[in-house]
Amino acid sequence: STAIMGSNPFPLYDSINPIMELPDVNDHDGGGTNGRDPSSGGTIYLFSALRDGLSYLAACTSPIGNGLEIPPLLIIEFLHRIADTFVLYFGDPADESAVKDNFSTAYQLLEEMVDYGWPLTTEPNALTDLIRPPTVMAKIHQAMTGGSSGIVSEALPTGTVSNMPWRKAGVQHNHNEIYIDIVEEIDAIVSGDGSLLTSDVMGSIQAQSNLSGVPDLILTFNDASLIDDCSFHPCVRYSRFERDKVVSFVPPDGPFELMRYRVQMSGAGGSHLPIGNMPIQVIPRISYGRFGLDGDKVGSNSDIGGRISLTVTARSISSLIYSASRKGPLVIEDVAVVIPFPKFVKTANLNVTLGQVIYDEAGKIAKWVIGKLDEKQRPQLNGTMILEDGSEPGSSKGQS
Amino acid sequence: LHSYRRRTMATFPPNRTSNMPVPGGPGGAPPPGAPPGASSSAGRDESYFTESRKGEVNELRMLLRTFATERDKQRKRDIMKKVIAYMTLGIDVSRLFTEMMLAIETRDLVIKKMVYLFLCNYAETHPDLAQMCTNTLVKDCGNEDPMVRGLALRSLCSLRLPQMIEYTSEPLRRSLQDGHAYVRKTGVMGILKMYHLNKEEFDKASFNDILYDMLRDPDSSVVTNCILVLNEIMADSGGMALNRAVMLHLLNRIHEFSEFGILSVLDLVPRYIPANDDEGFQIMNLLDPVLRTANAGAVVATIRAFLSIADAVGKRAGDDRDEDSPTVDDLKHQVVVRIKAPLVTLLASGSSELTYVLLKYVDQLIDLCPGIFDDEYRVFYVRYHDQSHIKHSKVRILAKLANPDNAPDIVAELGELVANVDEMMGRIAVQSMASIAMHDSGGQGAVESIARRLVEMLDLHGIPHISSEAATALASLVRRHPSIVSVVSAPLPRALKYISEPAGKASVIFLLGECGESIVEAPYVLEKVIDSYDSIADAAVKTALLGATVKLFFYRPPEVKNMLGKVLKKATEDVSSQDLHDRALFYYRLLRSSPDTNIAKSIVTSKSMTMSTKHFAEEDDSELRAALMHEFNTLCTIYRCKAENFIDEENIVKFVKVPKEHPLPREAPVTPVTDPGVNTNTNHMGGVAMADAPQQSVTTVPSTVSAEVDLLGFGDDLSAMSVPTPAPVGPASLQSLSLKSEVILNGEDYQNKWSSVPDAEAVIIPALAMSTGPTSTDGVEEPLKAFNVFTMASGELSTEFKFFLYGQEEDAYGGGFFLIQAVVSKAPFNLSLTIKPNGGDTNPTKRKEKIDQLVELIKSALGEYFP
Repeated sequence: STAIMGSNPFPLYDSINPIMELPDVNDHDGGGTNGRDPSSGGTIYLFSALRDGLSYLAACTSPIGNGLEIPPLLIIEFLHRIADTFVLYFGDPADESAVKDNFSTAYQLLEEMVDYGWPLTTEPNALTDLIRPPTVMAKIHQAMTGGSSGIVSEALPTGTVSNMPWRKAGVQHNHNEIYIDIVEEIDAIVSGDGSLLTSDVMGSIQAQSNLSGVPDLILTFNDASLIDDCSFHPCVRYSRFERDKVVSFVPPDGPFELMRYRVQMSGAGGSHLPIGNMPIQVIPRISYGRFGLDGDKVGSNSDIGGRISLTVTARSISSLIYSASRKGPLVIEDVAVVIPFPKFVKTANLNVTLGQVIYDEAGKIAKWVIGKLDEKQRPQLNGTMILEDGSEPGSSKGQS
Repeated sequence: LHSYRRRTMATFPPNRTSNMPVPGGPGGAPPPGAPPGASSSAGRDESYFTESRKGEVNELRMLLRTFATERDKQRKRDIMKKVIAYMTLGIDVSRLFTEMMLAIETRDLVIKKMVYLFLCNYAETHPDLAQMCTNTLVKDCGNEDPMVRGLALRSLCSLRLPQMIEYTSEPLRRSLQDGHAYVRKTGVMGILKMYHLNKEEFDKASFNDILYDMLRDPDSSVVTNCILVLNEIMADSGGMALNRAVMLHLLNRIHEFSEFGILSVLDLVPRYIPANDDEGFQIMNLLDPVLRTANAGAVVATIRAFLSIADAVGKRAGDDRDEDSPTVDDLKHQVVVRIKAPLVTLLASGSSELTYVLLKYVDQLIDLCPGIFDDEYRVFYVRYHDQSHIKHSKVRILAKLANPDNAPDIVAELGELVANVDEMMGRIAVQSMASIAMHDSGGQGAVESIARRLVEMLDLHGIPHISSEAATALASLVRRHPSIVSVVSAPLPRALKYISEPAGKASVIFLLGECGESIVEAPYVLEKVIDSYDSIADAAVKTALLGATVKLFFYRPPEVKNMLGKVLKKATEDVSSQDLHDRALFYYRLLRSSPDTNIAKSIVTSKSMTMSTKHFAEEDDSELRAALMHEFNTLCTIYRCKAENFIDEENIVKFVKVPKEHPLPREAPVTPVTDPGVNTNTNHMGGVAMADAPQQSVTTVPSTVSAEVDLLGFGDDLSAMSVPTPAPVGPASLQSLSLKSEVILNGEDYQNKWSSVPDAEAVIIPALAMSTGPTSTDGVEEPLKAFNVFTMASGELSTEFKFFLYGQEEDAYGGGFFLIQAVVSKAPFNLSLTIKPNGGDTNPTKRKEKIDQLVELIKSALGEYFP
């Protein structure tokens, strides 16, 4: 089910449509369309989902699903669910080597997740009931002996039919605890002059539940009206949220995504967040002309080049996040700037005041790793570019 | 997804048999450094997939022979894994069949699974050997461990050996009665495998009736599989037979289904015609929570269900519905408004594959209800990391979202994309921009500002495809808005020099003809082109040249006369294009035979090229769009073409709306479809009703079953359904339970009947948890009476209520009595039933069925006490 498409899939994948057609596979006997067997013939549709460098492929015959029309989304969602399950079992990332190392577990998982082409058991809790994930002990064993993991605990599934498909019955933990992580991504488009065109916050509440019995939990928001739209794990009581804006649920055991939400900062919904700008701003200045390599403007017979300078500034975000346990100002960590250069740039010579910059000649991508950043620093990148001969930079715009 | 699991192996490179000389060692000997024997079984296997292991099947056999004596469980598993690893690589290890089968007798589930996998993989190529293992598999189907039973059954059914059917049908039948849901759902899927293997045997076994019965299985995954299997078996008649009772039963349970199980139910809804308008709206309300799930498939399936219901219950012209009731279009509009937010969230957060498919769906919904997505236009801005096909879809959609408020933003954004390194992207951006102007959706001044932008692009000779695309766009635009000629004309002569793409060149030439009056040098630039006529390869350019020259001739005869002669001569002699040749002749004869040049002039320079509508005729795809709406959420939406255009006719799925006739007349009061809410499950499970649990679910449950609809009977209208299928859809076993409304029975009879049935035949339903209890015996008797279950005697004790109840079937259904002893315990509230059937059907399965229905009936009659 998994095919390997090379270690650096992005450029290749960019051209691949998630739904592909394979021409009639039964035509190879040279008989042309006449000799076709209609019962097994027809186009094969390949659905693909890319995760961690692996392409998960599902092949469907035509008519899709043998006389039934299967919604394409079902197949794509299902492929992702397989990938999710592999991550759960083999760790993150569930890449080529992880799947190879655990191939027998992968077989077992597929056996339970899909039967005769139809999704069977997809809930992580139900699956871990059927197939035990590699345990910590097994992983140690693997490290010591070099053997592969996939050691399955001896316990057989309890076989309890649960009324809550997402939660297995009779869960017991010595330490009863639940961890909640709120992960928010800001998705923004900033125009060349630095103004914000669009920005959304995609939030996801990730939880890890280690609670015994049938715990009933409630999560409340300070201001639920900020949420523009949200979707829930099946365990959440929908009507309760509609009524009280309270997330009330009986969690599955183990890691799961409780809810996803979206907050719009601008647009017709009206901006209602006190965030005017991004926490980090990048101010680019790019110009083209005839420059020497040292950056001085010289005579017209030298190479056509360009100048680039970037300034990164951080806003104070301490005021945005309240946390009693925090000491000192908030620092933004793991800051990195990726600068893709247009094709007509032959090479670039870049210097930074903070961090490290690496220019990838082949991919024409510069990666500037800044690391920690607080509002006092204003790291800068300066550099020059040499362009391909005969290129006309005037018409192209740099992307940042 | 079909045949996806088993065929995996077949897609690997062709089998390399170990008989072939093996590189690395003569005669298949293991390469040096890898000593034969068990030494490598110590778990020291760097990787199972190293290339040097091709020819070691013999070594594996040696290993397998030590298997029986090996005591270390882990080593045993490692040996097995090695075999499976070879198999995965496409190396033929079928020679190990005998050794592998010896290993099947194990208590280790993991080893068992691997042997099953091996077996299923080679069964087709080695049917004789596979047949030998059947007994073991059949035996495992009776194992005490449900997991083993299920696995063995699944493997047995997956062998793909038609001759095996006689062995499989019995274990299959048994599995359907299994106490464990895992085995039952495997069995249901096994039926499908049998169906595809041998349809005649399948028909003999008459599994259909059982499957319909099993739609009532307490486990939702079993029900899911039943739906899937029935749909596939009944594909010729459009899928599973569906009536009101079945549909409502499934919808009421929809919250119990897993995230993919929900889809199987949702896919049934578009086929179902609601009994009347109220029911349609109730179904919509019931499905609304599904929009809050994170599964994009479920959300879109719900949208399709909504749209189909809107089609069914909305008012149309000439309809006898109420004046005030909403029209189909109103309803669809409301649906799209409702689903906008969830769709946008999915779009913004999903994986790229989902986003791509969802964009196609959104595109279609925008066509259906223009304007609704307009204010979300920023979501469709292209992101740097989006993949090309997503970017392209987004930019096409952006054009459709333009309205006077957002058009300046959208046009500016499109302008940024024009110079994109992706050539396709740039072209689509130009086309989208032009489309906003064409459809006049940008408001005042937008047309002119877009025209100006396009004119600027004509000069982008560094990016030839953009200048060409801009020229093409302008040519269309001039036809739609002749007023922009003044903006367009000036740069045309210049543009003609460097636009190299034929489409763009043809457009510029066309424009030169259209704007010829106002461009002084027009004749001279055209003349140059005419002089190089022989080097023009593209017929479109030549045709444009001909048309433009003729037009220009009427504006400026003296300058153009010579040119016209030249071009007519060239074109009439040109045999490369029939169209061109005929046009040239037409113009020639028109000019020559016209008695008055003014007549010819009025023909050639007429404004017939100017459009009066917003769309070009070829752009009008309203018919296609309407057809596609019926195929929403299929590949048709993604390809934007009808199914018959890419699927062979014999493979096209029938879409049959059911039921044809409804048991309910439109005016009849509708039985409410209740919304049990997600919470009922959890409340059940918790055992304690939560103080803040919503009460509305409790109060609405009782109406689930009413006199008109025997929800769990499934029977009454199945037989009336006219689904064109050779097999009878309504099997006899689906007879509904129907109780007499008048029964005469005195106390003595009751006692006699009660004692005449041995206690062993009594069906005992222990402690059904109740959320509240009755305050008096009347609280139970009255509701039951409404359902024709009568009370012989009752009493209240300190800890419980006790009732002796009875009911009699209609004579047509057997006329049997049911004697019921019911105990409602007070703390905690629960209901226990002891039911004795007396008379009536003697068939035990039918009897059991009726009792099940009776229990459901009692439960729903007393619904107010149940959570």
